[in-house]
Amino acid sequence: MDGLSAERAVLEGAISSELAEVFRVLADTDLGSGPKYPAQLLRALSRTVASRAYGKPMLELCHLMRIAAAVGGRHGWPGLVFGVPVARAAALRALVQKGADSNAAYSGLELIDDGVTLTYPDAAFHVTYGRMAFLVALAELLVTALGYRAIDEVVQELLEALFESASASRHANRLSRLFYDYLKDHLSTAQSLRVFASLIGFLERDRGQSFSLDDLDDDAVFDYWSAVTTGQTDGVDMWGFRSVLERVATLRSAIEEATERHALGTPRSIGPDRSSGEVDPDAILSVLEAHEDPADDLSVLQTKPAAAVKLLTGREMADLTVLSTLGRQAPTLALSVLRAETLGVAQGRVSQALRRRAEPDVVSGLLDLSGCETYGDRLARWHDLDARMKRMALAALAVLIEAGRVEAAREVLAHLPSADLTGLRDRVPEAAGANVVALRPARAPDIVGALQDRTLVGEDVADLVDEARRSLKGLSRAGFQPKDRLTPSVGDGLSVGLPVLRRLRSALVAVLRRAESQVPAADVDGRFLEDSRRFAIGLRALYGVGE
Amino acid sequence: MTDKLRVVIPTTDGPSLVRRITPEDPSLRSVICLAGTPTLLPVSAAYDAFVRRPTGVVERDVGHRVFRIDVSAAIDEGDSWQLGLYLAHRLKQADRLAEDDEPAAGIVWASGSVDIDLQVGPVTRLADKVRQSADVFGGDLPVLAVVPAGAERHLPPEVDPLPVSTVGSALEALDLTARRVSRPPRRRIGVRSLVLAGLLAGVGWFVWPDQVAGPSINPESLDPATFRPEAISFDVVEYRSAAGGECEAEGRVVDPAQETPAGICAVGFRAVNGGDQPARMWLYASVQGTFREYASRKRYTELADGFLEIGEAGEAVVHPPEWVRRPVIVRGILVLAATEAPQVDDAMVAIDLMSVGQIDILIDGLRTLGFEVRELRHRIVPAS
Amino acid sequence: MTRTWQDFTDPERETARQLFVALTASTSMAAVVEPGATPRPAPYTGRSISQAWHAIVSGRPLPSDVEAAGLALEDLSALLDRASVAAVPRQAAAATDPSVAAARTGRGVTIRLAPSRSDVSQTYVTLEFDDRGMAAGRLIALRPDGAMTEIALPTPVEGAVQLLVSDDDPALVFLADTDCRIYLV
Repeated sequence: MDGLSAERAVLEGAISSELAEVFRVLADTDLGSGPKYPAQLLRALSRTVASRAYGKPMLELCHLMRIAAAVGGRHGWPGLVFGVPVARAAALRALVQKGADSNAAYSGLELIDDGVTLTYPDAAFHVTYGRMAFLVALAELLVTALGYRAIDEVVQELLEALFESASASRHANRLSRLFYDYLKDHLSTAQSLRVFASLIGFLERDRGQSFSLDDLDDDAVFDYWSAVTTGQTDGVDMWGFRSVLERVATLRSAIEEATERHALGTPRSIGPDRSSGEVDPDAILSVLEAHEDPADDLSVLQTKPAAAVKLLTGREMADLTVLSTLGRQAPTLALSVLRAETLGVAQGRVSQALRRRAEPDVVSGLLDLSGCETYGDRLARWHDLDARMKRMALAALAVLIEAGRVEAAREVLAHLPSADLTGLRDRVPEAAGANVVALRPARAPDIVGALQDRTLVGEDVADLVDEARRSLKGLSRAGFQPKDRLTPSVGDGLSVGLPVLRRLRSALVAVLRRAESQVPAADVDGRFLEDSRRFAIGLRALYGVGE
Repeated sequence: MTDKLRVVIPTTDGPSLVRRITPEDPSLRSVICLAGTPTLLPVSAAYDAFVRRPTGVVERDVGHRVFRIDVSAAIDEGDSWQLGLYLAHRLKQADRLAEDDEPAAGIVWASGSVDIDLQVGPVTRLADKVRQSADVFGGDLPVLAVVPAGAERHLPPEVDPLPVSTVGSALEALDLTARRVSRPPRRRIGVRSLVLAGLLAGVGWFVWPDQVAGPSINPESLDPATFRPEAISFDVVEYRSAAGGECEAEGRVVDPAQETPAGICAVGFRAVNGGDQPARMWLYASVQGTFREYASRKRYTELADGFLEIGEAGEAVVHPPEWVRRPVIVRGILVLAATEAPQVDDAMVAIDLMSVGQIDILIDGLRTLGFEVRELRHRIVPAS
Repeated sequence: MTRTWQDFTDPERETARQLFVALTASTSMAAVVEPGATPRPAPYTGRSISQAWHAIVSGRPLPSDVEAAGLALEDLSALLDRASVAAVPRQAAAATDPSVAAARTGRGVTIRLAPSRSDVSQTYVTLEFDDRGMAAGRLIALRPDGAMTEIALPTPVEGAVQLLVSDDDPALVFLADTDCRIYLV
């Protein structure tokens, strides 16, 4: 995400600057062990808030508060919620167990495997440590937004109420109401609805009343942007090509989802109160999750444990940002991604130049798109990036092999899905059935050693391992140097980061292929010139600078 | 020629001179401070235990339970300071401790632990302490080195060695065996109480009582049957600001019912014994009003207590905040008895911590118990 | 066959509309939490309640005032109260009574101020715990204007801690101020 994204988010009016600040505070919270809330966790939280699907989480939170109060000792619930250094399952498990050991008064709670079970007289409720991480983030969000006393008051009443599941529901409703009232002022739908209306209106005018999902294509993005910049359509303060692209992708997802629900014959089940047009928040949440998960990948690489290994440089990540943000819509709008990375970047330079009051001739040059990266340049850059990502994936495989990590077998299968690794079966510790790739995050030197045995794994696999070794040579990025390779943090980082790298590469390749199919090599320069001319007209119209 | 002595506590880092001993409010804990600063030495807790009954010996032997000692250098650990500090307390009690810059006839250099029976115990690393005290031993003043018996071999030839197995031997050598109690135990809290023997004769002079040995009290002279509290006068004295911002040295008795012009820098409450027998007196003065400026280095309360000899005067002086331009009430409370009264002692120990309402209740209670209690309130305007 | 927008029923359109709104809002929030998404002003204090809590209970330096902590005064006060082993509330009503500042009793502790007879410019601060087994690492004082100060506390002896402070020590001004709330953490 570029440096202006947060401001843009606020400017676009979806969330208030205060709510943005609340999320920023959570993102910046660091108790000395790195960010307390991993970016993915906050993404999940933002989805829950955006979809207003916090009803069930509030109920879970009330149960967690009972647990936290019991294990927090003298400090009460803040001891766990504020005291846990990082919102991760392992850290929460450790704190809960420590608290349980030192607090004798612990009736009704039982630590079971992956979490804590509360056995109320009227029901039982289980909260896993993994879920606790999310709930702790939710609690901190509530406290940051609404104030400590406001939340503590409800929690204290909950704790003083009868130990029964029903009281948790009552107090969860109170928390939900408090948050609902807060979001009324801080999570605005008005601006987004105007953008929605503007896009739909444009499509109805330009493509006719019977436009369909297929009409939300690259042409629609460019045409809408042109219409906005030349004043033919009210873009609701949305002038950036990339913003338009993201909104069209969002609209695609929204209509796609509504269409799919129709196809499933469940269009009416989505809303609990169809007549008033309400939509089930949980249904919205599930859409958000499906839509945005791919966009989390870059942040996964930048946070622990994956951040221990530099699988991608900052510039490489920047090159993947747009397509990553678009998620599953990226291949469909591949040409628009190409435009955003070239012409869209040039637009950004114009607005920056105007903002810093650059000389007119400088601005004029930028408006003429002089120095703008061409489609050919960008496609070549994507090919280079693809090659580098492939090399990094292979080098990472070599590191896993060198470190004796069992994940190496998984990676081999990812590179060579048809590889026959049954020869390794006998070497899997406590081999579980036919599943050769027992993905234990542990050292398995026997398996890894066997991966290099041509007689056991075959030529293809052995060649792959050789290639991986060659890729590793001379690589000096963090995690790939000889001194790093055997450290557990690097192995753990690769375990998480490599599948992500693979997904990102697949997304890149999908966009690349689609873009090249739309703009054949022979047409690439001509298409760029054509688009540039049209884009420059939009820019001059938008920024009010005459010919 | 002074008969006062300095006391030096040797440590392996060098000698530490006892600069001052001050009886503190009994509600506190005894402390050892570094050279007049608020820095408490780590041995303070051990020193408190050494002073306080039932573990300590100092309270038992000198009659007061809480002290602050200021020393010139740090004493970090161990208990070899006990002998020196015990002797310092006894010298102080006998008014023979040379404090601050007072001239001294000699130095007591003492190292040894002291148990509850005043047996002196051995110390470690005495040779190091001796080596670090070379400047003390080579100075102008004669040094009496008090050490546990058997340790004298570590001492240099120029010092006068006094090996002891009990504190008693040291007290004897210092001529401290008879407790030099000049009067019944008395406490003062930063008091500007004064011995004003010549007042009735019209000659006023102020003397800090801690610096003079008071006249002895004959216990037989304390007779409740013949005690006449009405023979003791109780007045308000105003002190005005003099040139240069100083407070004038001599105040004047005023009518407490009359408000006088602004510019009062201090107010005293003065009791004068015009009777024919000594009287036990507790005299408390306080400024009523906001306490926000507590840290202003001014005292807003004072307690003077002790025996008032025939013809003697006692006075407690408080300094109202000088920047206040509105009237301030200053309150004086005088409690009188023919003899010692522990219940009044106990009450007065805590009076600084009482609210105005609690003090009113205290006064009623003391009157119920038969004590003579008098009270004066005076309105003044401090700032001129 | 692809359905057209015209084919959508009103509830379906509403579904699409609400999904669009939620996706937009989610993207907006995600933009904020992206690692390194937005440059933060330096030094950035934030207003993380976790960090405030962590500073309070772990003995780390506290912000100098409520503004620096980024929390509302009453929230910070409540947080300090929760973290503390003992606390003394403000006693503004009795501010005109000098003796109130000299001895204040609260939850689990009595705090007394007494001048040193040896040097009236120094004051003893005594904390007497109701529970003699209680201990606190530091005293935190919070003024109504949001200013904060702290004093490191030594190990209690027989349930009490005694300090000696110079009258020019700002901490004493806080302690003598009956409007000040005091927390032992």
